[in-house]
Amino acid sequence: MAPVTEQIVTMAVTKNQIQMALENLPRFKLSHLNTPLETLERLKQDLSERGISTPDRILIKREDATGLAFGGNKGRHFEFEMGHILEGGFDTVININHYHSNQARFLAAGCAKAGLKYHIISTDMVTAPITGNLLLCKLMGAVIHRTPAEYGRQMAEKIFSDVVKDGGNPYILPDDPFADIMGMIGFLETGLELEKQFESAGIDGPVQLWGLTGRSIAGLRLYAKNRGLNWQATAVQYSPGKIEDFHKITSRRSSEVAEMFDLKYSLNESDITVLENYRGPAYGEPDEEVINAIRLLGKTEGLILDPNYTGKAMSGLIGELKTGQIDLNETICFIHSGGLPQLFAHADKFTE
Amino acid sequence: MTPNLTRKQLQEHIDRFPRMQIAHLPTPLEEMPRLTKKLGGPNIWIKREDMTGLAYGGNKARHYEFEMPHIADQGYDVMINIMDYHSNNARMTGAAANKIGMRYILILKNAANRIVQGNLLVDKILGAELHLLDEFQSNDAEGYAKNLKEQLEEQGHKPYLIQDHLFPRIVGMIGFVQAGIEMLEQIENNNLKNIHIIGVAGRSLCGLIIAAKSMGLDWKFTGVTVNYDVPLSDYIFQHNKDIQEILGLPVTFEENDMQVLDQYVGEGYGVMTPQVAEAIHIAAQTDAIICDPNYTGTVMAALIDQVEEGAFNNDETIIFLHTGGLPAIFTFADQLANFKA
Repeated sequence: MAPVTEQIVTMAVTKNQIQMALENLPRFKLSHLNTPLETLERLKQDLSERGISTPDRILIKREDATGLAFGGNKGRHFEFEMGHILEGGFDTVININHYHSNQARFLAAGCAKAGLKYHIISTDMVTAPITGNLLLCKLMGAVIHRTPAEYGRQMAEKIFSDVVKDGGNPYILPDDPFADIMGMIGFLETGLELEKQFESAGIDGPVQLWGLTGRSIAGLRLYAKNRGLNWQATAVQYSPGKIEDFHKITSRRSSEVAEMFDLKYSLNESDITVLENYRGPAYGEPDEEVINAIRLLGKTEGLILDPNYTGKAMSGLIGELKTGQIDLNETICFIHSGGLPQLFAHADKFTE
Repeated sequence: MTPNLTRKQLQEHIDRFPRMQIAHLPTPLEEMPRLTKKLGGPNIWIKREDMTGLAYGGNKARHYEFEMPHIADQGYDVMINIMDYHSNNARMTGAAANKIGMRYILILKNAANRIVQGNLLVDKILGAELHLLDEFQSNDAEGYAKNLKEQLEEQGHKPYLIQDHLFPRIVGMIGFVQAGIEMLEQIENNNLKNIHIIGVAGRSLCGLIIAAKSMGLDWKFTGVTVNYDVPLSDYIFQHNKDIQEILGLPVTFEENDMQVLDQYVGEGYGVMTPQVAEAIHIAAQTDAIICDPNYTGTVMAALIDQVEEGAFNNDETIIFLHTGGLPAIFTFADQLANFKA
């Protein structure tokens, strides 16, 4: 009889199976992948000097370094999304997203590179200056429509029918179920990268993936679960919302991806720990701890985080380390998902 | 005299300097297919030095791999840098100093009462000790720095005032000799011929020239002037002897190593011309490449104009050297947001 460990290995999906399934998807090259995995040695040192115990290893996966128009994790996802749009033969892409949205920028970059017309309906904060992501959208040729969120849908439909009238073939991104899961798909690939990087760094103990309540960390956790890897996941909330809603939507999306990739397991609420104490007053509003976390990483590592997402994730990590909530036997792997242009839309928070 | 070193031999000249890992290398060399098609001239490629990964990236991350150990090994405990409000160097030196835990004092000229945006915002986040000089003080920034340095010395510190030393002026070229070796491999892997590199007329391009001349390569170079205040000849050609001594390479610069284009400066450094604003939009809308208003945007404007003027041969491979500088985009947000081609 085979030893137990071998049984687990034979049950797990192989790297090759996931790789092959990814290769079967239409894809349009946008980014520079195999992003670096680095250590946050000086952060660790700074925390220890202040009497805060840390695990031996705090790593950072530099998804901010994908190279597409200021970088970020979505440079990866949108390779699949653009492949999907181009396969559909569309010539105009319509998107609805918030003023602060990074996703709006990535789609602008994808459409520019593919030569598609792009309309971004930028919702809320309609009088805020055009800077950060929205400025980059403008530079990359996006037609920008600004409106309060409640009129976004209506505006998208109007643009859609205008494009059809002119003989075009438009695509509304938020209407496509694929757009809802491609972020998780992209991070199955990050899982492949990370597993190899952990192997070459000699890391075989428990890993705590650290990120935000979105599709990326869910994609990684889904990868780990199906590969039988000892990777746990913590997701920090970045806006108000019920934890159970995150679990519900993640479970549904992961089932869809699992089915598509022929994976045995989907995710349930025990797979990702969600932290709600670090989200600040609202989406796009960092509290003082977030600003402090951004400054700390800048000072100790020369590394930049953004106030809307990664700053909140780091505030969560530091907060949990301070209060002793983290198992010191784990390797922390912080996912830097990017978002760097939006720092410049928050300049007033750093004037002191 | 052309030495014709192998790349391994040239690498040995670089490897004698202490070095630490700071940048994500090699940076990609990639095509700009849609810009090439739009302009209808030679094939255009881009060397992505904006992707070095250090606090918004940029070419200088390469230099600090040599500069930081050089400074730290001599026991200095605080760096002082004098730069301009818009400076990328100011930002990246700060990030690199933080990587080794070196205290960093930044004296910024013409920066008092300016909005906190772009590079200055990042300087703040990096925790640089800022001295923002007004126009009057900026006239004698060197004197200001000297006073500061003396005060620190009295307090028992060992300050390194960057502008006092030769190595920081040379190190950018060392970094780009390394980049030249890297590019040769990429150029060979992509089977590119008739190489013509266009970039800011400055040290990075000079480093590539040293690399090309050392290895006996027939790469051509066009340098675009972005700042009238600092003529290329003043700060490059006078260092011929220093470069030979420090790098141990018998290479000298000659005027015709680089074609220099002065006509795209406009009103001077830090003022974006409409032509540059348009070039930024064109690069972004074709290949989603973002250029900055002070440096790479000016080079992109020159590249576009030169192709349209038929100044390049169509059998050349043009390589646009993207040296970074991306935070400055947001210092010019209003102007760019309101720009209409």
